[in-house]
Amino acid sequence: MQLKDVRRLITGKTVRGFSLTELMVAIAIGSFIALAGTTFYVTTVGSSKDVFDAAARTEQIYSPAASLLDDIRRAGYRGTPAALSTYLLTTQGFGATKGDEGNYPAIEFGTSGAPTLSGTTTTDCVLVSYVQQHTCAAGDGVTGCAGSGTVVQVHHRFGYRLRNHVLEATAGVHPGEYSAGAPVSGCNVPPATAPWVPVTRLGDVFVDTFTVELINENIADGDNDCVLGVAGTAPCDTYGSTSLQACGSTTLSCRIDRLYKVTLCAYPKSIDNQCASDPDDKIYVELYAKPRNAVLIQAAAS
Amino acid sequence: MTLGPWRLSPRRVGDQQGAYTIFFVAVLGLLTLLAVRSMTTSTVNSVRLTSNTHNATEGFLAAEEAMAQGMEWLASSSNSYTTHLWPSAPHTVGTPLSFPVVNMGGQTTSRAYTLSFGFEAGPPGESLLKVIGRAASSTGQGATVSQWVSLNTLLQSTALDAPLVVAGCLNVASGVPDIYADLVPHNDTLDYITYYRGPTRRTALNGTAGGLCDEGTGSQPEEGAAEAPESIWRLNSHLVGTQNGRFANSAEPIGLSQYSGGDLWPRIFTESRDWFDDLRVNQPNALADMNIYYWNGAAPAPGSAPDTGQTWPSNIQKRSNGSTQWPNKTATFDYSGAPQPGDSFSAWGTFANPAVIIYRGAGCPNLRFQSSGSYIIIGVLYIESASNPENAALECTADEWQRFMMLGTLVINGDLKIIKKNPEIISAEVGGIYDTKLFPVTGVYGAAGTWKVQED
Repeated sequence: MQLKDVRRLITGKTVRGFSLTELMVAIAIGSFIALAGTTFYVTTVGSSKDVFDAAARTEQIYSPAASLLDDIRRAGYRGTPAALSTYLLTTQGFGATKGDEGNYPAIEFGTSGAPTLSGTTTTDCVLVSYVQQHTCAAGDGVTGCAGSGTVVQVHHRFGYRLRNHVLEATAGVHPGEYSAGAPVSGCNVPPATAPWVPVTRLGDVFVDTFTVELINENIADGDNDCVLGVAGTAPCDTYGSTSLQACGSTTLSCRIDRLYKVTLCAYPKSIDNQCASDPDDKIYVELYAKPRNAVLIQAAAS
Repeated sequence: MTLGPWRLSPRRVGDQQGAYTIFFVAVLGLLTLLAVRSMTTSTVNSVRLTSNTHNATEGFLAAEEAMAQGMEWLASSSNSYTTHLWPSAPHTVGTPLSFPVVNMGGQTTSRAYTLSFGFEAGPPGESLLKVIGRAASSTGQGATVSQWVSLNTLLQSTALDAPLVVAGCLNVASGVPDIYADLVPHNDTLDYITYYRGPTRRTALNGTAGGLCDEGTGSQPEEGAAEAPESIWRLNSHLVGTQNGRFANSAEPIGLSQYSGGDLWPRIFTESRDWFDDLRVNQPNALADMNIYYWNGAAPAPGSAPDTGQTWPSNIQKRSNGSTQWPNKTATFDYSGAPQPGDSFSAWGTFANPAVIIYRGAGCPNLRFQSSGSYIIIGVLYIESASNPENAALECTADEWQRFMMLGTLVINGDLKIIKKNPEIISAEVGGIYDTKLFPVTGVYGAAGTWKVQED
């Protein structure tokens, strides 16, 4: 007795099974569909993850770059014209040393001070200073706050640097304006006084290059905008051989306009110096920024 | 049913072996959807952040354009910041600023920003203003930026401090100038200075060139003085007497301030002589638009005063003759033909738009006002030599200045000798034009360290 005959006896029905050929065809079709579904899943999820990772990497690079760009634009804001005079008087930016832009210049390159075309022109650590309006809150400890809700002008220093292929940032407040006792901020200060925090994740993106470069500067007489170092016509015909170093003398106040280039190059791989070879998924950012606030070096009192 | 070797027959659903495959594929599909949705959401958020950053930059650039237009508007000599104070009366720019936008479908459209600007006055007495520029799109995006600017007025900030400025010495032989100046300091910190000159003679007009000016302060000319140079005494003795220590004639007491001497041009004007010469040759209409007159060689005769139909204001006050009280009288120049409050008159310059008149010639001009008395200069009259003016070597003999009336500042870039005639000068402060912003603005310069994005 065959198996189907046994089933027929038990169920009282006629049982019709798969032939081997049917089974093989069914398995083949099913496997094809399953394989296609799996491939679709893997491909779709994989490509979505690639897009997601690329977006995340891009965001990690572009956000601090955009923030730095904004900061460079705002650099050097000191408040009212009177506040600028206060800054100049209290930070040696008043001709105590010729060419001196004060202790907290609008833009500072690492420990090199303010950049000049005749000095340091490139850095991987930049510090940007400007005043921001601060609405006081209870217990925020900001000098000058007379109570919650009071609005005061707070002097900030923001920093961006590259350390171990991770982009880091810091935000320091100088509540005592520029007076002694203000918290130290700088590219190499201990974290307790001005902590640097990472703004990129090494697991996501390997920042190979971060540079801020001074690419142009225009120095002019602060009183009449005659460009220094250029042989002009009257009354600007006496400045042909005058340089930045003359600014801050007893007779010469200067305004300096500068243009910066920010370059960032990053990629997912953790191998150094690959930007030139154009690796996969490379993110390259090249931005230009001009501080809207010209640097002023005031003539020293005679 | 038989189909070749195949035998097809109806089966119950539960017997279908492919159901597991369908289920498996459905689950995979669902997981795929969930994963893709999650990542798509993250990606969209990331793109949205980038887009927001871009839009913020766009709005900020538009706001900068608004502020730049505000500065340009301000630099026009016919505009006044007082008409567009921020935020009560901003000026809206007629043409919105558009940026091209490529949408998801690849089509290029545009996003327009309405631009507006306004001004905030700076500290009194300073030529500082805050310019605010704002850009707003129809979708609510926008930004506001501001910057303090310094108005480069044609006049130096101290140009209007004294009604009479002389580079060399003043010799008042006879006919004393009547100077009406304010004893009350405009800034409450310094006595108002009414007379300003160098310490030495520029020419031989009043003695030996290079010699010290002989400023007597007593009641009589200094003994042994060959000339009669005691201008302070002359000016202050042009009185019928004093009452309670106050001088009581038409002129107010005169104070003297000496400076180091030399060319007065850079002390009065912010622009060079070359700047004026260039405009005169290449843009003569620009000078006229700014109410600037170059009088070369010959001053126009009375009757040609261009600003007609003006009304003498009632708030110009001076001390009345013989009065102990000051100011207690609404008055004008002392000449009989001078306009009284409410009278119509003609002038070079107006109270709202004072004139700058530069006369270059040999000696001082014959202003020839002596027979009229109805023509007045409102603003600054600057007189210097046509040749080598940088040496301030003008010999100005004012013998035809009877009924010469001016309201503002008279500048003599050299020595001045007044003979028999009585020019009358009302100071810029008493005359209500003590504000260099009323004069032409030749440029607007951003003050360093004052540009900011408004936190609003």
